[in-house]
Amino acid sequence: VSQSSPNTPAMGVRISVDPEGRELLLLSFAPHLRGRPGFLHGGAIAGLLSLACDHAIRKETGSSGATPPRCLTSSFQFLRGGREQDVHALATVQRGRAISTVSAAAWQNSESKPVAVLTRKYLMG
Amino acid sequence: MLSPETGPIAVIGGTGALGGGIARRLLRARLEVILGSRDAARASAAAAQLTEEIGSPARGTDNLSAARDADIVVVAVPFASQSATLTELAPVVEGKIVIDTTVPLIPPRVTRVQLPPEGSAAGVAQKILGGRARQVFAFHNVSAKKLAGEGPVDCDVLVFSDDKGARELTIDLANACGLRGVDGGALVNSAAAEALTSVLIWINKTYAVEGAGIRITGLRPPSELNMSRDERRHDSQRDAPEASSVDRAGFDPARFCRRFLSQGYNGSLQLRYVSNGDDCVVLAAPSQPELLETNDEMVADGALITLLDMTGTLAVWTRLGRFRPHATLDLRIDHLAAIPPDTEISSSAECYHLTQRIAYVRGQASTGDGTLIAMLAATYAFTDQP
Repeated sequence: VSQSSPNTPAMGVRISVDPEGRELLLLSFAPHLRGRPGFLHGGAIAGLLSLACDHAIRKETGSSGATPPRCLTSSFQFLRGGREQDVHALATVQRGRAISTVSAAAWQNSESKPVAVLTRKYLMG
Repeated sequence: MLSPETGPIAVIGGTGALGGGIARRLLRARLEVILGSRDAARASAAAAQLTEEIGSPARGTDNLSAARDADIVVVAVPFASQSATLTELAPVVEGKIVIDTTVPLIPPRVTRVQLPPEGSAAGVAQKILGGRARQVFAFHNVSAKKLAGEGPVDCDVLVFSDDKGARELTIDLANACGLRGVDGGALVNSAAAEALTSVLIWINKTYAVEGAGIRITGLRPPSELNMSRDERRHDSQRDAPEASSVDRAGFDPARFCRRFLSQGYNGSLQLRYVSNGDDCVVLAAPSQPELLETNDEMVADGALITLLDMTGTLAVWTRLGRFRPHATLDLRIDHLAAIPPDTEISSSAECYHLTQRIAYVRGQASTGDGTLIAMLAATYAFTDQP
């Protein structure tokens, strides 16, 4: 799944493409992602959202050797508890010359009912 | 004391009006609920509906299985079924807290006080379970209809038990339901509240109202009443300089972490407790870059965010001196430096302001050598006041 330290189960985030051709991130539910009983840990959702933003800004700027944009600030809004199910996330980039803004939403059953959203600012180049 | 370690709560008679109302409010307080009914299929259907409606998972099964799988058992059945229900449950409630809501109403004369020969419904229950379970009587006077609604219920919950710890937990549960629990003393005192229910039904009829309730006057305001005893004691000694942090520690973060940080996502991130003060907590975790499957670059910092959020959560309960269910509203993080790989990150958070509904937290994360990595501002909303 990942090359992080061997004793640590990574979240296991995959890229999936939805019927409209959008690239989503998919976090499959697993028991080690539990928070309080019956719920997905808010930190796992936050991790997925930050991955989605980082992935989107890197895709936007290309992987051309230069230092990748550096994340300056994060603002997470938690809207509802995440259930013990898979979570999807989609990020969109508002590119600026010096600073770019990336927003991501995470949802489970319905995209119109996000469980959490994240806005990040990145310093370009 | 109520905490996330509190196991599932069974609501026996969970498809009835009172049981359903209690279950609904426990679910809204984000507690784990198992609905019990004589008819397992009806309980499953009711649980599915509640899950859909409240967005917090409940399950339903027969009464016996529900009580067996739970740590706390709420009994909400009519007086006529009380004996049979308790007799059925007796083998599986050994040592558990059993919160009985039974009131000896004998139709058709429900507006007249008719206490049974045992003295009260509590007396009947004691005869059946005597000594096996930690018996509590409560919720006698609360209108099922109002409980089923979303709004506040204008009624206190008198709590009776011979077990002080069980009384305190039930008061916490009543508070979590958005009501106010009041310690009514020994189980035998339950007769007074049971009898009062017939009076309340009479008042409902006479004044053509739904759900008349009771209020105990002369108590301190709810903000103080809802505090733990330890916190109240500390409060009254506010000026005593030697009041130590141990004195107010109704919530012990070290103990909590030993039990809770090893589970689920917290456990997989290897969060560990370092220290705490009166309103602050320090945790640590190894830095763990989270990678995307198709990408071997270090791309995310879910572990850092979880560490900061968990530290903030514990700071709130530490300042409060007790566990109170809450949800993270928002987290603002300023990223000051990249996270170095293979190092330990320590995170400290302080709950610097607290209101009835919201807790405000600030915190920071740094590496072992003191390099600041991130600053945190977070708010948490308590979820136990609908």
